[in-house]
Amino acid sequence: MAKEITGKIKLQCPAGQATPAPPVGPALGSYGVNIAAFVKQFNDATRAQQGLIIPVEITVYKDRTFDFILKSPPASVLLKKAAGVESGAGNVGTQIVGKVTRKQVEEIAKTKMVDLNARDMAAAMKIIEGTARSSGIQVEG
Amino acid sequence: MTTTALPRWIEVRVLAPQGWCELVAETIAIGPCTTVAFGRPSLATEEAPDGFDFVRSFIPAHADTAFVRARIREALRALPETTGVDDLKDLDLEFRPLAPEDYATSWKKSWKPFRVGRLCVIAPWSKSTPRATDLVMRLEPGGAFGSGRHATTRTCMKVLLDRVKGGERVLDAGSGSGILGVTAALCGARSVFGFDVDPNAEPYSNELAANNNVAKLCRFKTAGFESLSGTRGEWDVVLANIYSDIIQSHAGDLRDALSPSGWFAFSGCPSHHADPTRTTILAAGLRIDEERVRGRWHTFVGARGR
Repeated sequence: MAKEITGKIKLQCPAGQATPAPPVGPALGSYGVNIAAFVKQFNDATRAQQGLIIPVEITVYKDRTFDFILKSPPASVLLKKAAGVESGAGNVGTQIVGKVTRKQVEEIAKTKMVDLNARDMAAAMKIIEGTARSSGIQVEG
Repeated sequence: MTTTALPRWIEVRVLAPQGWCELVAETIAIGPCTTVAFGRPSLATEEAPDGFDFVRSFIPAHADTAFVRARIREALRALPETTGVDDLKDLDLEFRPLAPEDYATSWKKSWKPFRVGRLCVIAPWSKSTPRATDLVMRLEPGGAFGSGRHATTRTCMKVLLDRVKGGERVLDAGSGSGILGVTAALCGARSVFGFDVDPNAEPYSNELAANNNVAKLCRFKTAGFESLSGTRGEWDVVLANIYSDIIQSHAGDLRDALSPSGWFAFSGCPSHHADPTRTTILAAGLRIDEERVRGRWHTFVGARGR
């Protein structure tokens, strides 16, 4: 039977380490969702990705059951991976920690297009480029 | 536990241009809290203006220092420069203390026991006292599966309470949480077999059966209708609380599973599918004795023979 949706909740949680603390508790608790069940299921689903922040979209139904989907990693994570660097710049604006090509930016923009809610590819690429600059990653080309 | 013992939190709230929420989230998730929420903080909060969304991070009160707040302000202030994007200038930033609350347990307040006939469904932590004549089901609510409150589930539970006499062999096709199979067992069924294609269903329903002391009577399996192949007329009761198109496409399988003297309850059928579902059930050589309607949901109860 099709279940009626009462809400969608978007969070970013550390893989394998979600807890009932804010924002998980208040966000899900306001819908009467079993917080312990979400925390357990999310942590089980993301345990292999420990150390990463995982965007997750939770759909809550009228009977207060829920399901969730894991989204693509944040753009900054994808950029660091593309640039082959461990972490972003400590001194943003002066320190360059890595480089990506425009083609890589376009690929990341495609991956993130839906999550970014960007109106078109140009807008998505602008966001990815801005995120790259903010992480100390230079866009070549 | 007194509220003074509970951890206190400060919400860091920014109104960010859509598209930039991820980067803003990364900017404000400084310190011990790395979990971020997007969207309206509560139903009581006004929607964000067009083109914007709320981004919220949280700091434990003990870590909420002037230094941490200054770092967050400075990181946000620097965003237009580091990104080269003017849209990120002068973003609204607020620090809001949250009322202390035990979030791990406070959601339970909204869960109330409910009753279907003489069956009382309660959460494991419930302190409610059922009547001596009640059947009691303990159900951990709010996981991936329903909690028995859906109209179709309640109707099937009521059908079971009305019709199970004791000693029946029950088939539950698309058993989900196992709530119908366990209801049948609590009503006196001799054995229950349930199957569901969702791999999460088997452990959940087995746990439900164990929590209600009917594990020996119930068997739940991850499987589809192929698990019925080779069985004919084995079941005194056949339940199917599933999508009506699946009932339609497997009406023959469900009929074959039913013993000559058995009865069925097929549910999960919305009003706009009632006519074709009814027609298919009859065409499969089954008889409909009862059609219960709750809201827009139809449940067909009947037996073999036209």
